[in-house]
Parts: sequence; C-alpha cells; structure tokens
Amino acid sequence: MKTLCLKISNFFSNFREKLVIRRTMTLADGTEITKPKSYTLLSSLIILFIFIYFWNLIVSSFFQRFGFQFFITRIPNFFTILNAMVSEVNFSYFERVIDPLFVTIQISILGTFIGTLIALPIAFLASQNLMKNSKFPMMIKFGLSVIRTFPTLVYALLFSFIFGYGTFIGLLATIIFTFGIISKMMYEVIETIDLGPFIAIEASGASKLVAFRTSIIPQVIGRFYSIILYNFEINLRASAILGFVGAGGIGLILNDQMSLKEYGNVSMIVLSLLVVVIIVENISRFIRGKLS
Amino acid sequence: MIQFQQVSKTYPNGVQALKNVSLKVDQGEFVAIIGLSGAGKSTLIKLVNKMIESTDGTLLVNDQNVSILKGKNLRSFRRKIGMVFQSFNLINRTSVINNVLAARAADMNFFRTLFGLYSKDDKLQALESLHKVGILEKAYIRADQLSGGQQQRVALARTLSQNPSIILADEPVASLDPITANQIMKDFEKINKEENITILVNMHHVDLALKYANRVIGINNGEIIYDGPSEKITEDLLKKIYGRDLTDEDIMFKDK
Repeated sequence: MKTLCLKISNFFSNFREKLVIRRTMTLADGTEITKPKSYTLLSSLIILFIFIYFWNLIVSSFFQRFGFQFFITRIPNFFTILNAMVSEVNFSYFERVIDPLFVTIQISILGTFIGTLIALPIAFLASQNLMKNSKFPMMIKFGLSVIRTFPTLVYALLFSFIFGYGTFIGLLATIIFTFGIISKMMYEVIETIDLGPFIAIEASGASKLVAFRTSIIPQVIGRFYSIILYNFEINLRASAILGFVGAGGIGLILNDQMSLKEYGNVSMIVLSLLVVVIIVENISRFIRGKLS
Repeated sequence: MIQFQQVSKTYPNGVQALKNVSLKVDQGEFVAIIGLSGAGKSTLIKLVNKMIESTDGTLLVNDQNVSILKGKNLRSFRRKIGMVFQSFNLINRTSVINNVLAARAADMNFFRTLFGLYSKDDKLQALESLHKVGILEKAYIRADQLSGGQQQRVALARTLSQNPSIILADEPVASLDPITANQIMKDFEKINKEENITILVNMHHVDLALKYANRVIGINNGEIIYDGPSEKITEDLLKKIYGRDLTDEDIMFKDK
C-alpha cells in the first residue's frame, strides 16, 4: 500500500516537472535569462480534463440514452412552444398584471435599498485590509458564505413558514439575499483599494469608522453604485420566482396562471416583466456610464 | 517635546530596526533624519504617533507616555501630530477641500461626517489651511488632477488643518522632482518658523536635509551615528552614516 502511494506521488511529481515550463534563453553576449516557472500548460490540461469528464457525465450519457437524432428533432419544439406563447399573448390581461408588477418593483427597490444599508457596515467589518489583526473579517466572511448558500426562494419559503404569506415575506427574502451578495461584492472592492489615504486619516487621530467614511467611501462609491444597480436587476428577475411560494408580486399571478394553464396570460406576465427588466437594465447602464 | 529614552523596536520577523535610541527634540525644532533606506528612519518617525509600537524603552511626546496610549486617548493624542507621506496619500476621487476636511473629521460630529455636511466654520478653516500653502485656488478641483508638488502641498494643508504641534514627514520629497522638492522643503521651513511647529523629516537626500534642517540625526543600522547641528556635519560623518561614500542618489541637486 505504501509503495503504491509512493509510486503515485512519484508519477505526479514527474508529471508536474515535465509540464511546468522553465525556459532559458541565451542572449547574444552569452547572458542567460530563465523564465520563472509557469503553470499555464499544467492548469489548462487540468481544466481540459475536468471539462471532458463532465461532458461525459452529462452530455454523453444523455445522447447514449436518447440518441443524437432525438436531440436534433426535438429542438424545433422549443420554437413551437415559444411561438405558441407569443402568438397567444393575451394583451387584455395586462390590466391585471400592473398591480402585482408594481408590487414586484416596490419589493426590489426597497429590498435592494435596505439590504445595501445593512451590507455597508458589514462590508467595512469584513475587509481584512482595514481590520488588521482582527478576527472579525474571517468570521463575517464565513457568515456571509452561509447566508449566500441559500437562494432567495429558500428564504421566502422559510419566512412563509414563520410569518405566513404576503408581500412582506418577499421583501424579507429580498433583503437577506441582497445583503449576502452586496456585502461580498463591497468588501472585495474595498480590499483592492489603495490604503494610503486611510492610513493618513487614521494618523490624524480619526477612528477607523471616520477614516472609512472620509477616505474609503469616495474611492469606492462609484463601484458601489454599480453593484447596487446590478443587484436591483437581479432582484427584479428573482421576483418572478418569489411568488411561487406566496411571497407576493408578479410571481404570484405567474404561478396561478401557469397552474390554470392560461398560457396567454402567462405570456403577458413574462412579457411585462421582460419589458421592465430591459428598461431597468438600460437605465442602470446609463447611470453606470455616467458614474465611470 | 519628543523624548526617546533607550527605545528599541524589533519587528515580528526578527529585524531590529532601532537599538537603544535616546534623543530629545524641543518644541519648534526642524530635525532631519538621514540614513540609508532600511536604517530605521521610518521606524523612528512612525513610533512618535504610534503608527508602530516600540518593543522597549520609553517614548514621551508632549509629556505623554506613548506606549500606554490606547483607543480614544491615542486618537486625541494624534490630533496634535500631523503626518506627511512620500506618496501623498490623498483621497484621489474627491475634491481638495474634502481632503482637508477629512483630517478635521475626527473632531466633528459623526453624523455630520457621515453625510458630508461640514459646517461653514470647518470649511473656512480648511480653506485657510490651503491658503497658507498657497494652493487655495485648487480647493474645488479633484485631488488626482494636481501635480505631485501640488498634491504634497494639499497633504501639508491637510496636516496644518489639525493645528498640530508636531509634523512628521516620511520621505516627503522623495517622489518629487528637484525644483518641486525644494519648494516643498521651503514650505516646511516656513511652517516651522511661523507657527513654531516641530518638524521631524526623514530623507535620504543629504543636501536638502543640510540646507533646511537646523539639526540632523544620522542613523545607520538602527543606531544614531550623529545628532547635532547641520553645520557641524562632515564628510567623514556622512561616510559613517551611510556606511559608504555618498553617491549621486544621495544628493538631489547633483551639480552643486
């Protein structure tokens, strides 16, 4: 057993030695320069290997079971369904969509806003570069990973068990989800900035919090706006699913109409959401362009 | 007054940056600390406002024992000590006046700071500081649009707005061209004379140090080699401080 392990590890170290390129070039006057070790080839091979393995696992097994023919012949079905959805759009259903759509927008705006407010101090405490010699960042980062593990839907479901159904549940779920993502995105930005100004303001006798407000915020505020707008878009899209667990908004009627097999109405709902998302995307792209 | 009593500093990696350093700087002195990089100049300066903690000895600054200062006491102690850096350390993405106001934020109500609602009085004080270093007209320009010399002036104004009794300057002219460096040193000289502020400046350019400082402290390998008036320093002493002959790198105005 031991010799086997040794053999395996030997094999890998030999393998690595060969794949890690270390090229020496000689200049005209005989000076030699050696390029430092490069793991590019090794890592690309590993990625290729993983890719082929997963491809086999998922795609090949599908083809083996159903055949390639099946896959090709079924592709047009997608367009048939799409066509049916588009051609059957029930525009008159729009007046029933407006109210839930507004509820969805409200949840997204309020959820993004409150989530951001909570995220800001947490991102500050989670930034290792500001909190030198402190255990806070590690602990908070772990907590945030746990929070992000669960999708919005799970939170909505959880809250519906506790508080019952309704818009408020959707808002709570959106806040938590937004908080988890925005905190991470914010501390990642903070951890890349130039710390000089922060040190200078701290040296002037300011607390970390004051130094953060005065020297870090101006540096990161532009990127923070981008993060917030991006999360607002995500929340709008997620809202369609939120309604499935009774958390209010457009998802609620989407779920109803789907179970009633009223595809014309479903199309109208999806279409409305699509229009809103596109509008919001364009507004936020415009604002982000102005900011940078 | 700054008083080092057998102060030592050993970094966690084992490097002994300062060995049993004793010195006394009176209020209003202009002291230049010279030596090679890695000699301990920066450590010495950063000990004064406790950016670095000493490992041994006693350090008294303005009659306070620095090593026991913590939290709120440390912060109010730092209010009276200004600091200027080699890389200026300005907040780039905001206006010059906001940079100066940031150094006054420690004295302000936190909610005012939080929303950036500085009082008229605070703004006026900040503008006065900018005026002192002759850069008032740049008050509403973004800090990163200024030249290196102008940025260091803003840093100086920022420090002045604290009304400090001591200014620490860590290689303040090392990243500036000779002409600008000279001007910045003149600003230090002016501040020192007019406001009786103690100035402790680190530099490796010997000529500038001798030209502007009244007193020079030469450090080699964590130990003080020379401490006295700048007029009395000799070629021999400089050789001892630098551990070698002076090269072009140690002099800013090479033709003189």
